[in-house]
Amino acid sequence: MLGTIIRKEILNSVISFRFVAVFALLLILVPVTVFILTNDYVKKVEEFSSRRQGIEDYLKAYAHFNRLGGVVQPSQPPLPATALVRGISFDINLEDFDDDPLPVMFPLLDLVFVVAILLSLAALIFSYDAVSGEKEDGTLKLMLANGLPRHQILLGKIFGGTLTLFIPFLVSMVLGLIVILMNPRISWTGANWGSLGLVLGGAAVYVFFFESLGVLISSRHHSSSASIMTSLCVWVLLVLVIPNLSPYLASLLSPAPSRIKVNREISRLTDVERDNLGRQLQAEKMRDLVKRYPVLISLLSEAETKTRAEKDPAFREAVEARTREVQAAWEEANRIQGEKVQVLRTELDRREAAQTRLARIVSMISPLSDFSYWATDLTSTGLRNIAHFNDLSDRWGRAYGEYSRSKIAALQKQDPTVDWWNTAVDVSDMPRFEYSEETLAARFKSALGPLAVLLVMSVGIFGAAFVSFVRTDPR
Amino acid sequence: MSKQNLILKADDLSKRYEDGVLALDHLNLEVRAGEVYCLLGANGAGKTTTINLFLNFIPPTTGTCYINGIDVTKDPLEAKKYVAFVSENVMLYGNFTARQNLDFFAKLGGKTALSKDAYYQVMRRVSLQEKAFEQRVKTFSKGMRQKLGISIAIIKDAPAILLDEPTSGLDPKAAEEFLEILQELKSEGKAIFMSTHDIFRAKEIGDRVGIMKEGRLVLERTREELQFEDLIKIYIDYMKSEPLTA
Amino acid sequence: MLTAIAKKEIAANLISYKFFIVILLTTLLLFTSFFVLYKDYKGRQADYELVRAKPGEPIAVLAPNPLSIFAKGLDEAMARSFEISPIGIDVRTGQKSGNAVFAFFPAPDFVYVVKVVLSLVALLFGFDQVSRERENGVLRLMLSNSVSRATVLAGKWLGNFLSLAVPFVLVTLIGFALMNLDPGIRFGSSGTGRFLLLVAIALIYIGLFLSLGILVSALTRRSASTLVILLLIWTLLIFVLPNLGTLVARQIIDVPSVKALSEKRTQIWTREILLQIGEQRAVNDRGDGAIRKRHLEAINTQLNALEADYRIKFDRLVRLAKTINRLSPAAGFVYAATELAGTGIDEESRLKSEVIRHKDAVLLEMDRGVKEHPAFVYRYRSVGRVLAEGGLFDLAWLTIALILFFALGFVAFVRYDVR
Repeated sequence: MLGTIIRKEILNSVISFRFVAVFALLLILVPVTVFILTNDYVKKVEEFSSRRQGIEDYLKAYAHFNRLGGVVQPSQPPLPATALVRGISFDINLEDFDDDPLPVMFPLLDLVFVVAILLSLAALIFSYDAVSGEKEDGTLKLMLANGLPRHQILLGKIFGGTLTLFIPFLVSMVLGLIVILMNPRISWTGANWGSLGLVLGGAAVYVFFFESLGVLISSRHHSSSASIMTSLCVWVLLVLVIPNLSPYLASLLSPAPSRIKVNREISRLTDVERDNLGRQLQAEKMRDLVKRYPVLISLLSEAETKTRAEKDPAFREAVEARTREVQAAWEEANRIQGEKVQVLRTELDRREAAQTRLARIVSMISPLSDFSYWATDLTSTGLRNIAHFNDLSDRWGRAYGEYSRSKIAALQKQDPTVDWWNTAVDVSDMPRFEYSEETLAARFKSALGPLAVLLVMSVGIFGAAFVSFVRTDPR
Repeated sequence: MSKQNLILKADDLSKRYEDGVLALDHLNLEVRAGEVYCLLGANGAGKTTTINLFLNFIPPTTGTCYINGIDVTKDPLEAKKYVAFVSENVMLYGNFTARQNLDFFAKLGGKTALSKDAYYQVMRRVSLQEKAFEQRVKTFSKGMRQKLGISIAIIKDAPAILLDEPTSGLDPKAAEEFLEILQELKSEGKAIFMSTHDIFRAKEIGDRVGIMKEGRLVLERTREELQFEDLIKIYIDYMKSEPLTA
Repeated sequence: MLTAIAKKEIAANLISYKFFIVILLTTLLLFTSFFVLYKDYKGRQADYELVRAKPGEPIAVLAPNPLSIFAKGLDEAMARSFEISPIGIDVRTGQKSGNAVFAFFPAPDFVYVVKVVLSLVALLFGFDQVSRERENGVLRLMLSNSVSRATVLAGKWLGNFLSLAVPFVLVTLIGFALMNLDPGIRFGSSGTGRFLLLVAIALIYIGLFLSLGILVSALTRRSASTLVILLLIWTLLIFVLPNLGTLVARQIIDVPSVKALSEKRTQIWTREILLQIGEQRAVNDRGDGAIRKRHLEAINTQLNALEADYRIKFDRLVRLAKTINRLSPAAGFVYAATELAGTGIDEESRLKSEVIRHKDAVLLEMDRGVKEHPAFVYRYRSVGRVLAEGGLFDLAWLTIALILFFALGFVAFVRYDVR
């Protein structure tokens, strides 16, 4: 019996105008979007490799440790998954003069959008008159008079509706995937396919949620016209308002210290205060040194120092000691100030993380957010990847720090009179930042939270629709 | 009957739709002031098409409709001043009260300065319950809506009234009340044109009765003639007979 | 007759469920948007007080724009502080960059609520005007009277537009008035004028969608079909078309990504500094001398060239993206609104040019040993200039679209089969 009902639901929908309209739209929109996104991705890959080449070229001739850190900053390579899911755009780049205004004005289009906005709207279009329409047509009475159990009617409607919508979506996705496969410049790993499959699974749950919601609302109204109004209002709130409000709400409820204030303070600590401290420590060290090596009182130019150091071994020892002590003084200054900065940074990070967490949690009331997080975390285009990237950056940062320290030490050993900080060196043995995606298992685990919320909410709405329909008055 | 009382006239009226169906085939009829004309026929025979042509909802293929001597296609706005329309099963504005509906359509009909009492009077005249005057129309039964519909036509005070299946779906009491109102209007000199399935009532109230079959007016009888002929038998015979078009 | 029909529409709306729930939603959203963005503005104002340049400092920083409460646009980017130094511009950003969720969803400002929600609301008011009244027979009853179809349509349009516009304007003005109570917010006469103009543009936008709704209603027989068609058109116009244009433009016009640009900048100035130090070392030069000056100039020249080249390409990209996006009235509305408020793409571009100009002037002074620098003053474009530089085009385009949809709706309704 349930099979009959589901079949009837599907057939009834498939020959309806709205089905044809939605199917046509999906069939056009998804492949076109994927096509444009894959071209965009290929371009990004080209640009990324030319950027890397540019850096390598620079390093061959101009790598000097004083500024090297700024030149070899880690950067995120484009991922194959961005052919489908854009996620958070790193390219807004507010930290530099050249920010990109276009993504701020018009957030970019991707699969997540198509699913999140189009499919949810379509699900409501399909289900808003699921109950009220059959009441109005008189067919509900007919079904019930024929002894059809209510729960079967409900299951038939919701599952039939979900299938009706999801199958055309899959068909349009297949077309989109063909576009990707036809492009020789894109190669997807097994993990990519795996993550896509999981994303689609989440999309099915997402559609199921909205089908159930539509049926629930439909069963609470007597007329389909009232039902669609309520459905649209709820949809607007869930999909267009709550996600957008959540970070603002979070910043009101869980404020973080002003970044500008903290940066100002850090600037002061690492600049003026460090310089003062460094000079102070250096002066102290120099006082001790001069006691041990009175010859250092005289101030010679760098050239003169070098010639004298070559001739006079005692003088060279003094100079080396001075270089060592001066460096030690500044290192000490850096260390002390660095600790202070660290305290500030840690506090800032902690508070910002708390706010981000709260924003994320609040936004998860909206199924759109849940699906977005699910899709972006699985494809390494979301918040999780930002954290992962920062992790990798930190690790590389430490490796780089090690490298630069040992390299400078080695160079200074070779020739202590050269200002190695401001001389071009050969860094072909420097560790390069390599980005790799987290394992699919790790991404899956972190994305599970939002999916769980979506599942729970779907089950809840389904239950509510069930109860509501069982009690509904068929007249 | 003198020509100056001629209110409604269909002159050689034909209508062929885009899909080729000939809905009306050279229809000629006249309705005078103080006269009730009942048009009988099966579903799809052309009754509603006739009314639609009179109201200029569709253009005729050939022929002309005249209301009060005015060609409906040439000057529809002028012509419509002289006709009131009672539609079959119209939902009206469900959220408005009976009076609010009446008020709106009265204004549309050109009566802009009527008082609340005037509305109440008309509604009383059609035997609509007092308590329904300020009730929302969506709570009304079909009979109540039909009464409201006829009160809308009455308040316009136009010389002609067109009614499309006015008694369909009404219980016998409501249908009788409705016909009483029509009698009153007829004695006030209105020209009344009514399409209907209801043979019995047509015989009762019609000064003239016409039978349509497949777009043609196949029979027309006056009240006097029907005293000697059994309208019901004629009608059923026509319905049973072979189709006019092979 | 026209007023009778319009009044009827308004009266019918006032007692309908649709009106109740839709106006409730709109009011809620508008007030929430005002509150949230107001708080956001206050926060950014507090930040500004911390970074504002003390007299003489070579820092260019713009106070946050109070109109950004309504049209946030690019105000965050524009209100960053730009610290001028010989090797480039040091940028400090504000608070929002710490919470990554901000980057996920667009800001729910007034422009967003109008663009997304009010367009939908206007469509919902228009979609059943013709088809539903035909379905329940009332249309025939109306047209059996001596009233022209033009009058009927105009009355419907007017009644529904007023039903939408009056609550909308009321709520918006109340919000604006409440904000003016805060002494820390100064809109001034210019700001108030711009705000009113923004509301006027929003009304044109709403009227446009109402006309579209009525047009489609007059082209379909069943109101259920009308709704589906309109919802899909709405999705295309609001979400797909504006964003697709930007993507397509990027495929056609090659513009380096901003990250690539930043990397190049860093490479330029670090290279020059290295060369400078090398040269100084070779001739035992320790301080500010000709060598340093030469290299700093080289940095500035190269950075300016890089910037200029990028600007040209970027402007071409923006122009193409805008052209494609503008097919959607939603994009036209956003452009007009943000440029008017002073938070749009063109305004930001102009600000950046001004910052660069200021930088060049300051560097010249630094060169001459001047320690105290004149403050950076940025004057937003006047409304006249905003209109002349594209605002009028968007405004005209929205108005033409409104008239076009209304005219087409009129034609469709005249031919509409009311049976």
